Amino acid sequence: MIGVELAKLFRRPRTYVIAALLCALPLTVAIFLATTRIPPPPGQGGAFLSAVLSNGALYPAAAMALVLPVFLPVSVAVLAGDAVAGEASAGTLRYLLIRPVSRSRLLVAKLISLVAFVLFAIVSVLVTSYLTGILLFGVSTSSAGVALPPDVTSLSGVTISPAGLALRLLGTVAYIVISMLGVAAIALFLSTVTDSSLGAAMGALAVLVTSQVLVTLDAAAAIRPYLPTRYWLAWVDFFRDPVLWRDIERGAGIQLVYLAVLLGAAWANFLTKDVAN
Amino acid sequence: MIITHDLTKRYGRTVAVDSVELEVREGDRYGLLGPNGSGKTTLVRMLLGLVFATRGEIEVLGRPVPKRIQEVLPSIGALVEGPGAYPHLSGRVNLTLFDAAGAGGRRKDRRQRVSDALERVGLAGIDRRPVRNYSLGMRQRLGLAGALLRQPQLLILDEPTNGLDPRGIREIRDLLDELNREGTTVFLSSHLLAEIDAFCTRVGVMDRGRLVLQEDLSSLRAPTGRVTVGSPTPERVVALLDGRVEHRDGEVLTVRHDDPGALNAELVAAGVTVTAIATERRTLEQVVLDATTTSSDRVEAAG
Amino acid sequence: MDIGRTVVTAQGLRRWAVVLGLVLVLAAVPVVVNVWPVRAAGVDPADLRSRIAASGIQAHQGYAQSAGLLGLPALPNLTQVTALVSGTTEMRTWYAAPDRWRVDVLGEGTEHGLYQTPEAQFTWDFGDNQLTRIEGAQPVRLPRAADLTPPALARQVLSAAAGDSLTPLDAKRVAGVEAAGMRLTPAGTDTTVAHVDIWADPEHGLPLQVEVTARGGARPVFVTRFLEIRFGAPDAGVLTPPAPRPGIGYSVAEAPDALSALNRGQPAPLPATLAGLPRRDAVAGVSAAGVYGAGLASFVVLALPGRSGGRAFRQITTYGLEVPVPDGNEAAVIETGLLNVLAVRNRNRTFLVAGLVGPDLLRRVATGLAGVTG
Repeated sequence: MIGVELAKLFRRPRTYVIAALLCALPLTVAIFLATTRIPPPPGQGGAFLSAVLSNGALYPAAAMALVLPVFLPVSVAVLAGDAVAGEASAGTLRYLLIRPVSRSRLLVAKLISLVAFVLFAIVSVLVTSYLTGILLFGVSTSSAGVALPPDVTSLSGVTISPAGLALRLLGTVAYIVISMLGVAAIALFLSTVTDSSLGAAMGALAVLVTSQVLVTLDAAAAIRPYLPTRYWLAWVDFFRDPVLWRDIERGAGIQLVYLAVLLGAAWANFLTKDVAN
Repeated sequence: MIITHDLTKRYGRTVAVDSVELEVREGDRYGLLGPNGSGKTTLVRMLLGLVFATRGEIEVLGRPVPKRIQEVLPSIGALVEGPGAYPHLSGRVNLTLFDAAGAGGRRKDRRQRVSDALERVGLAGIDRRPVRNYSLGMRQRLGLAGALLRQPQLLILDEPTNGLDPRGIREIRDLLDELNREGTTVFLSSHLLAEIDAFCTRVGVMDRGRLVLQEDLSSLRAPTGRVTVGSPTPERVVALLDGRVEHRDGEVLTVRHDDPGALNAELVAAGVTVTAIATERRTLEQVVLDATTTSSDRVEAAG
Repeated sequence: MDIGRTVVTAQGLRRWAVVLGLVLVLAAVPVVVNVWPVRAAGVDPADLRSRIAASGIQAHQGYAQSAGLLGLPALPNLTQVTALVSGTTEMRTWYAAPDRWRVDVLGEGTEHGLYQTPEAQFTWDFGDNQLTRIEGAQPVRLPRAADLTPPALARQVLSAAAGDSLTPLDAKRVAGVEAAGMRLTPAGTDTTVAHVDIWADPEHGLPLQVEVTARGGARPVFVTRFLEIRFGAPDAGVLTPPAPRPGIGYSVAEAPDALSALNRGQPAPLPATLAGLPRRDAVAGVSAAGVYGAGLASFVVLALPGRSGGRAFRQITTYGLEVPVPDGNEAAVIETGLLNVLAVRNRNRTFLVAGLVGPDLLRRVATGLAGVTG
């Protein structure tokens, strides 16, 4: 069933369109930065953006910071919202269920295909933005005449080796996948509640926007640590030296809690839901 | 094969299926007849574990549904309320995905299975066109191919000939006939009386959620105790039979009589020319009209 | 009828009950952790105080957070200072010895590091991509984030408030440590501080949480606490500042000696007493600045030279309230409930007063400064 879901994901042109859109945003920003050479003031306009002009190899991290707050969660919400509701309204859900595919396995397969999508999208963005950064912001040439990635400075001012950078980017990818699991779980649950993909996606986005607003609100400080978007940017801590694990651990923990609860709710709802439309 | 007891489905205050006692026997060609909205589709969905009953019991292939639905479904092929396929993929890929989704069915034979199923429904020559470009009839055939992928013991088909032209309907009927002769039990639902009349041996009639009639078609079509006689000289027949003629319509007469053979002999002996003679049987239409009360899509003013 | 053969309502309810149970268990975890009783670590306040004073050698590393509700307006050129007392500051600290430590102030996608080594101080600013080496001592400087870690603030408060009364507080779990608490209540009425609550690790004496409550306030207006703490010496590599190299800016600065700069402007001398309080010189040989009062009720007075003084005065009057003073002079005060700032314009001289002192005292100070002649 998982193979079937993956085949469905990667045979669908939509998947590639979304990934291309995700890659296009950092590319556009890079072109503007490279042509004008006007860096945003430090602490504004996205993490790492002020640093990439002197440090092209850091551009994948800056690209992550660009797509993570809005673009990536929106696409995950749209796909996850469509996961069950879309099959229901296209009439294919009933044929899967009488094949038979057990309802729990269907939910798990959907979730795994969403993880595959997030991985695919992030890796596409990382690769394109790495190439963009090297091409537009600079390459250092080693004595052997081979183009090597320039040294990257961590947030703490210490040089990160290429191997260290690769490890940290790997950590970033893993963390973002986990962060997006929470979004996927919200949209997937709503997708089992309604037969409208759009409704499910909108519902998930409404939750995320509310959470984003509350995160910045001091009056809501008491519930802030439990908000799904509170630790979204914690992957930035991979680029501190030493790595600051506190928020990363908490962020991952919160996402797993949301995942467990919402997937549980989706399971409870979907297993005895009437498939009729 | 299918037994339900007191099966009821309520959506809020609407009762979609009301205390249905369905019985489909092995080898049956069962036709579930009823107008749109009479609860046929909900009943079919309940049999397949897609919709859950409010009350009652279902047993399919000897196992309770939906408790052991996973054991039952591999032996069932079904078409529920129109075919469903991924519109951006070709028919062959759609079938391959559906085949891979379910347990069982070895991966090695998958291509062969898909080809066989496509051939059976008359889609052997389909190309790589996506399903979105298919006609309604082609989609219907594709859905049927999906139902046949695993050589089912029981076929549950909801409006299987929807969107097909008369030749297509005939082809599908021949296919079902062949499958039934090979031992497959066929349960089909339709709002088209002629379709059921032409294919089924057993019929159930649904009216506003209730199964108002369930009988072998042969016993429904019992002789009415009348014989229809065709003669170029009908006034001579009337004179001869004296009061036993119940109805006259041109050269066709309806005569109260049990045995057309004896009647024929009597008429011929009297020198009357007989052009046609047959036992009168009840038509399915008449049976359905007697069993149902009012058309479900009629909206009467509140009394 | 065998339940669940056909009608699945009960199964649905059972599944929802499982999910609900999961939610309840997960929601209960933080609540239980919060209300889990703390074993009383009864330590005598005087004892605790001496342990805190001696904890300067205790190596530790942790994650601290300070939060101020002072609502001080973002004064130009002082935004870094006002942000410290008006907002939340997240810090990572590594501490090996009084002359070997590092404090990083974390921001979203940015970082300011401060390294203390026996030789010099280094600051690193990721946003500016700038490493600075600061040589020489800084006898007087503006407050910075490193002053607001619980150990630094607690020691500062306790060293200032020698004679104030100490009462024990209930123990409290801070960053997983069951910390002994005490309350310091200032003796005088001049200060705006109602009390300062300090919780420290009873074993090492390291302060873990400090809460400052203003007079008339029910909740503390400034809290600094460790969210994570680990005792033991940090890795030497962590305490080594980044090496200067191509690609990052590097500069060497003498300790920015603001006070000598003030002194060079030859401002008006400060009176020997203000509002009846004698002057204690902040730094020997600097006449432009003075500290008056004792304990938490002490305040700093700066005499600013002509033009820059005028600018500072205008800033204060923009946000502050006017204070009536004699001799045709002007004065204005910004009150935050805890930290109050006063500016007095005496002819072409400007005096700046700041401290945790009440408005009554400041009014008397204003009158005193307005009366300075010569």
